[in-house]
Amino acid sequence: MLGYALTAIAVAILAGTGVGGGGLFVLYLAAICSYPQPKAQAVNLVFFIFAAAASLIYHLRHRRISPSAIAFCTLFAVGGTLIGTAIRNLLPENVLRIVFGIFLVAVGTRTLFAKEKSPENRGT
Amino acid sequence: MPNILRANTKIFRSHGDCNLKSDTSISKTRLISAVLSVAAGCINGMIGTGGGIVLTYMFSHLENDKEIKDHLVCSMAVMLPVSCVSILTYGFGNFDSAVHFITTAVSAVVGGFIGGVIGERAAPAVLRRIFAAVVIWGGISMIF
Repeated sequence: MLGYALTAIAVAILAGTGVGGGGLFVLYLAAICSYPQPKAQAVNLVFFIFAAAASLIYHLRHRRISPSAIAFCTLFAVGGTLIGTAIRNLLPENVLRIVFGIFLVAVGTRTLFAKEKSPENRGT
Repeated sequence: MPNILRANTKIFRSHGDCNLKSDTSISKTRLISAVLSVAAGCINGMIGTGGGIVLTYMFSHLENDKEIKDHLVCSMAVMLPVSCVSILTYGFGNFDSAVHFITTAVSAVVGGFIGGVIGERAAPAVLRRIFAAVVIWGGISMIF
């Protein structure tokens, strides 16, 4: 459990700094802890909720944000989540792993070859 | 037009624009942001991660008068409620024990706060390269 906690802290730090992390934690849970893909995703979501909330407490006082834009996007993103959930429920676990793997390769390749100051060079 | 959408006319403006942006352009920008938000939510709902990168990309292109850290915070602020909705669809039996849940939550809070504080400085390029290499390796191992 100590190794799990240290890994979670390290990944949360990476996520908070903007390097990336969400995908990395799912990877750790699925590949190292041998969790089934849906379980790894669920644990990662809880992990993200707590990490993002803690990070936002600091960031919201120091960064320029657009509350109306956030509200607008949240509305549509919640709708998208329900669509994604429906698709997830239709896919077998091995297909879900492959989709996740393709996503990781795409994000990693983009991060690896992105220019230093471009916005795209951030992870998940 | 609802006030919330009208308020976005000041937010979703392109680089170099002033506040006199045309209604057509504003509608187009809103449509793009709505479609990309749905895509971000869809990815997150399907694989449990990845929505943030789509939103960061979107915010950086629609509000490019701000810094990259502002876009990261905006995307995080959107993904937080989205993830709360998403977790409801998974049910509550995914943690092995209460200790497992508490360890995950406390580790995330500690790491998230530390990341938020030190994240004000640019992430070192070498760290991003290592992250990218690990993620690519992990992705390939998941596919095969």
